[in-house]
Amino acid sequence: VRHARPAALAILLGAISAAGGGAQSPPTFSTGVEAIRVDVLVTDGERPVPGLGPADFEVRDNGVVQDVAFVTAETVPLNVIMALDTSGSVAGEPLDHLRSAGRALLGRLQPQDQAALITFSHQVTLQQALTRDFDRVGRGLADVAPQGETAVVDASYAALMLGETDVGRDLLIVFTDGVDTASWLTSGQVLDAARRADVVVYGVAVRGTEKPEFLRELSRFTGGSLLEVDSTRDLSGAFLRVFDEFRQRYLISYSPRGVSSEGWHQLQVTVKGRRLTIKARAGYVGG
Amino acid sequence: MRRSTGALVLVPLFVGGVRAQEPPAVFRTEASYVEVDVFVADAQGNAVRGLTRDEVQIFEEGVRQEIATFTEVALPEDRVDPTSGEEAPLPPDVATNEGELDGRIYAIVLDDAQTDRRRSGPVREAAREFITRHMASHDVAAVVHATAGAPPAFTRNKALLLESVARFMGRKTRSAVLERMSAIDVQKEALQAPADPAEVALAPRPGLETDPSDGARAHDARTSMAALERVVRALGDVRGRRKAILFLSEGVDYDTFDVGRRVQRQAADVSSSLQRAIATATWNNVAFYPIDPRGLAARASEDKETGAPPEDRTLGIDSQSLDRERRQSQQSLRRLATETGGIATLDTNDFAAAFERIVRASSHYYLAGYHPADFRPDGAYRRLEVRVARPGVSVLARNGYVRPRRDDSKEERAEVAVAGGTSAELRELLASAWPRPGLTLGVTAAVFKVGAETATVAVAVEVAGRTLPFRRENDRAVNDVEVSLLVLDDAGRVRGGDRLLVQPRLTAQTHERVERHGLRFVRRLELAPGRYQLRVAAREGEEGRRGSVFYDLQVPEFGEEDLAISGVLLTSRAAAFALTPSPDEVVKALLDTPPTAARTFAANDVLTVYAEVYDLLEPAHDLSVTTRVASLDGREVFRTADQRASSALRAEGGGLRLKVGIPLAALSPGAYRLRIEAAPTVGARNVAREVPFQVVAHAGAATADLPPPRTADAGPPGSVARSASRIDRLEAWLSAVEGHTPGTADGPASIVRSWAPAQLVELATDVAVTNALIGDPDHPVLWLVDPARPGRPQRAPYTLDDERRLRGLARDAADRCRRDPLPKVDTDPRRNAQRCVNRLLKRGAVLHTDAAILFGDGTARPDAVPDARRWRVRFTDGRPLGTEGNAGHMELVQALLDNVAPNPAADPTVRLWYIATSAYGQYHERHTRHEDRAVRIFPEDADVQFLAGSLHETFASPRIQSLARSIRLPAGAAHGIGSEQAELRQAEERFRRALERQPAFTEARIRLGRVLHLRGRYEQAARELEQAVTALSSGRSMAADDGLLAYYAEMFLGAAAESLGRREMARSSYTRAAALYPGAPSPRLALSRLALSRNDRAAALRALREALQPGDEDRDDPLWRYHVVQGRDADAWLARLHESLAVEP
Repeated sequence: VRHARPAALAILLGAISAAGGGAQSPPTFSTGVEAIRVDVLVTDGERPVPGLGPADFEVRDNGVVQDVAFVTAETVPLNVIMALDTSGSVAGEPLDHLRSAGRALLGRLQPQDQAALITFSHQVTLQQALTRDFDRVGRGLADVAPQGETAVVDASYAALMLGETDVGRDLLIVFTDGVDTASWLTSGQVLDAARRADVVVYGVAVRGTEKPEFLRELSRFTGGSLLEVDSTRDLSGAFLRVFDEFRQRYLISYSPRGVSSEGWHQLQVTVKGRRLTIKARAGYVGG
Repeated sequence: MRRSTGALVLVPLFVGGVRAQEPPAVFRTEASYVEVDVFVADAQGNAVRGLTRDEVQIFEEGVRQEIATFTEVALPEDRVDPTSGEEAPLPPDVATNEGELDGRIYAIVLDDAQTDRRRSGPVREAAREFITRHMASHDVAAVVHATAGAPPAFTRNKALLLESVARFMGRKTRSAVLERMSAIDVQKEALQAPADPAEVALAPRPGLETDPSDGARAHDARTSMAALERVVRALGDVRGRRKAILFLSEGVDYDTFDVGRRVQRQAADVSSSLQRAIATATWNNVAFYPIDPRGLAARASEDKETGAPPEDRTLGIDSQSLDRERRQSQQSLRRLATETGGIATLDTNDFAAAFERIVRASSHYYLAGYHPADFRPDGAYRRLEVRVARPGVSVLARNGYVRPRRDDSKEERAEVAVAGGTSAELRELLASAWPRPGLTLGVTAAVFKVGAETATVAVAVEVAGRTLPFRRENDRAVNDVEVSLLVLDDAGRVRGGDRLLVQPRLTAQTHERVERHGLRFVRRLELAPGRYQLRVAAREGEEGRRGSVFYDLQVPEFGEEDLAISGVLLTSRAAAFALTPSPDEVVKALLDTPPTAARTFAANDVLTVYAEVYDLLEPAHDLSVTTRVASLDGREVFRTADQRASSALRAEGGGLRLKVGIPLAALSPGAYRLRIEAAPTVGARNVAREVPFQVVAHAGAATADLPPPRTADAGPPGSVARSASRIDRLEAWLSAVEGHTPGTADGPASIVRSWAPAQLVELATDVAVTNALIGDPDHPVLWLVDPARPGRPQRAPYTLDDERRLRGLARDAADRCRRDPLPKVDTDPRRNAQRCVNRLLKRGAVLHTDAAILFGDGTARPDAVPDARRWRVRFTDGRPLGTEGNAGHMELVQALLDNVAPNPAADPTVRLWYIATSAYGQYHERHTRHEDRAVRIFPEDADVQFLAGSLHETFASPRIQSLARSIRLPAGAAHGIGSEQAELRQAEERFRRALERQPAFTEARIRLGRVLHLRGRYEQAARELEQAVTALSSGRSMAADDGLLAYYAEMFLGAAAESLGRREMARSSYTRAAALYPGAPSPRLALSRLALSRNDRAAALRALREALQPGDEDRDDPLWRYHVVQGRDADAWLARLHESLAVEP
């Protein structure tokens, strides 16, 4: 699941050194020690707050203050997974909007980033696993034929599982224009899976009579947020907003001390001495 | 096999045919187009006409621009409503967007935030003068109170505008100088009085940092500027017109130059709100005309209040302070005018001259538009200069504009809560403060009393046929039309709404009708007393035309009056030709045909008028109601009177329903007033309503085009023609019943399929009468008895000639029975007649079932008037695609089979019909919803119980529950879908009944197990499912497709086991299910989730990959069709139904 990955962090450190480390002081890490990564969005009102370092954050793991070892942002490669609703209701113009939004998002990626595409109707399809070949992802989007019902819960589960990687930061964008009508898994089961994942989920839903409660919860659980658009015409803007916000997040790492490794760990992240809004996952499952 | 759409019969709902996709939105103006209006005056101030494009030059930042569009606008200054004539103007009771923009546009902003209370009167007087003397009949205006925050409601109705003006009251905060002077007075008194020295020291130091009203004053200024900005944005939608805002205000009372913020600490904020109002106005090409109501008397009132100010420069105050303050406030008014191309009226009491100038500048001007080469949405100010190459003229135009920022339009776009499902295009029109031309609409509304506190409003919306394009599709004229209604109260709050989407598929004949007479929608709204604006927007899908109309509506407080009159509804013989899909039945019933929004009628037409008079006056009296039509010069051309005793009215609930026919043949072309007046013999007051209308010469339209009059008042009864075709239809039906081959889409089925629901309802009566005549040739037919109300026989809708034909048809049908080659079951004539009738009923049932099933979806003919009692909603993926009239065949069949004698419940064909059509409906997701009725007739039948249980189980699913939450229903209607738990309860009961009758019914047991699991009874669920699994594996099941059922049983058992925490048992079940259907993703997803819950991520991923990439096999998961699979034997059931006719004629 996500936190104990010394090997992965070694690769990560290599990437940062190669990039010059930016303004951050060089992170130090003792390999072999379990590390927890927390993806954090810090905002002052609506505006993301830039320029924070390890000394600015206070992280409590089950109430115990931890030493934040490492904070970084832009330099970490991204894994962007799109899980997109291609049920019958997106046929026609909405699908064109969805394709444009997907392409717009892919256009923002850097060469070291990766992207994957999952589409779903009642049937969930892995169109393209994580790859740096963004054209292939774009082609996957171009080929879909909308039909059938909506299994957004099943698809979110698949995307959470397949999206989580050992390298980079994982962003999952789940788009749906309706409510779930066809999943086998229950929303509770998938929210439980989300607690075990280190993926930040941003839900994008078309505003309608039905409230996208599952996506709202999933986003909240993982430290992301839900964007509701009035029309699929606004999808490109929403996708780019998600991406830009995600780019401005911090990735905090620490090695848990003073807490048992088992069970559910409640996380509390604050910025010292400032009243800022923090979005981060609620916790993680240890052990 | 998987179906993506379904249909479900509802008890209620609107209109025929719909499409899921909305056409692309057409968003408004080009971002980079700059429009400048130019008023050019000669030396006497008169407008200069006839300029050409070459004579006008526009410079932006000194660079000459290429003018792309150039128009001279010349509006006559004195327009008269043709229907108002010599008498006082009579406001039309119909609003239309035809030629909507042919008048001037004014917004009158009354700045209560920055007008002294004592000058409220002059402001009201000035606004009143403008409205009554300077607004022409086609001009449109809105009165906006700065602090009200309500969106501007534009109208031509001067009474409404004046009413709003009358409510004006200034509430300006005292000025800074006056505050300072008061503070000085207070301190002087304190210094003179012997007081504690400490208190004196604590008193505020006047005139410097202490200004108690600073915040309030800044707030007032920002409120006024925000009001201006709001009105500008509302006007921004209007292009190609000069837009004037009359701003009655004493100006921004705030020293925006107090940059040190020693006294006025919010100078920057106030200044930027002023700047923003100007910037928004310049971009939207709106001119401000500020008018200072202080006029020449500005100083006097302040002096009266304060006396002479102290001459103390150390306090920053002297005799000039008030003047300076006034000049400063006027400076803001000047800025508003000069920077937007308007004129400020200051220091004068002659407002009339100012109003003349405003009207002149709004009447004759030039509109020039260009695209700046370097346009960027950067918020930058751009200087403009307009030059005219003619000597001796003066030019009035704005001297610059501020480009919008990229997100400005989006951020500020007004949003209103419109009826669900309304497209973005119509939402935009409804949110706009301004009606749009394009698709021509007419709207009328009439208010009727329901109770003391509520009223019902009948609304008719007509889309002009000539502006409605159609495309040809298989000999049909096809388009789709969306109409959305929104009711706003006078504070701009949404108080109601409705939305309809119709897809007319018209025959050539109906198409011609629509082209000539239009398409009409009739709705009904319930509203409390008050003032409202009814906004109606419509669009068509073929060319994307759209339009909107705003209708001002006053709902009177009927409860306050002992004598009142309702609104007036009109229709005419020609108006009855307009295609009216699904009119509100209550409204339609008032006039027999739907009301019309037309107010121009041909001279060969006949009007029918409807109104209600509410009389609760005491003591007993007579009430005389007169209907009168007169020309505008007062010449009466029609009169009829009705007199009633109040006691008679009281017996009818205190209301008189007046319906009058008015033949127009005697009226020469021209404008008329219809007046309905109620005069009681007690009390001093009469009540009346008036409606203006026009009569035009009959342009050679064939009289035969008009439908027969429907009302007794309007001409001879039309029953002869209608019932003649009715008997013809019965004859055709009897022959179709005989000619039809069951199970085929043959000619006879095709004939009855084309009949409209209302015709099928009539047919049910006619068949019942025929059957009675078969049983008893002497049966009387001139009276019909409704079994529900046996004491109230109704006169049959037949003439004597009809009766003669009916008896003949019944005789022929009986003869055919006697000729039947099959052996007679009985020699008793009564029983033989009954057998003959049953045969007719059952063959008729199959005929209509085939007509509904074999020709597609069983929905009504799109151009037919649908049966208002039942509707069909089409849906996909949990969402409604729309509603359409139900064809009515299945309902007719039910009515026919109810009459099978001696007892339909004992008849095998009736049972087969219910089972076959339920199975068919569920399998094809075309739910006819007669399962519960079947259960009542056949309570002991396991198949009937099973199908009813399956229907309720399906209705509990998210796809139908979501649909139920999404459907918008008219008032009083219900879709009949229960909550998830209510549907599950019903399902459980039905499945249990099925299993009581037939314990080996494994499919019913599996479904029962699933329902129990969904109801949270996991142990019971697991028990039932284990029993089903055992039955299937032991071969004790009676099911033919055991593999499919075993898959369901294992999956549901797995889920129940998981809920009980029995992971191993769950894993076994899912594994067995996965083996049964190797391509099915669901068991693999379930296994993956199970693995993850025990922290075996590798196994979870393995199972997930199998779920997503199952190799070459085509993925198939029986769970995807679980909601229809219960009806998979529908074809076999239908075949048995058809066979039953052969063995049991």
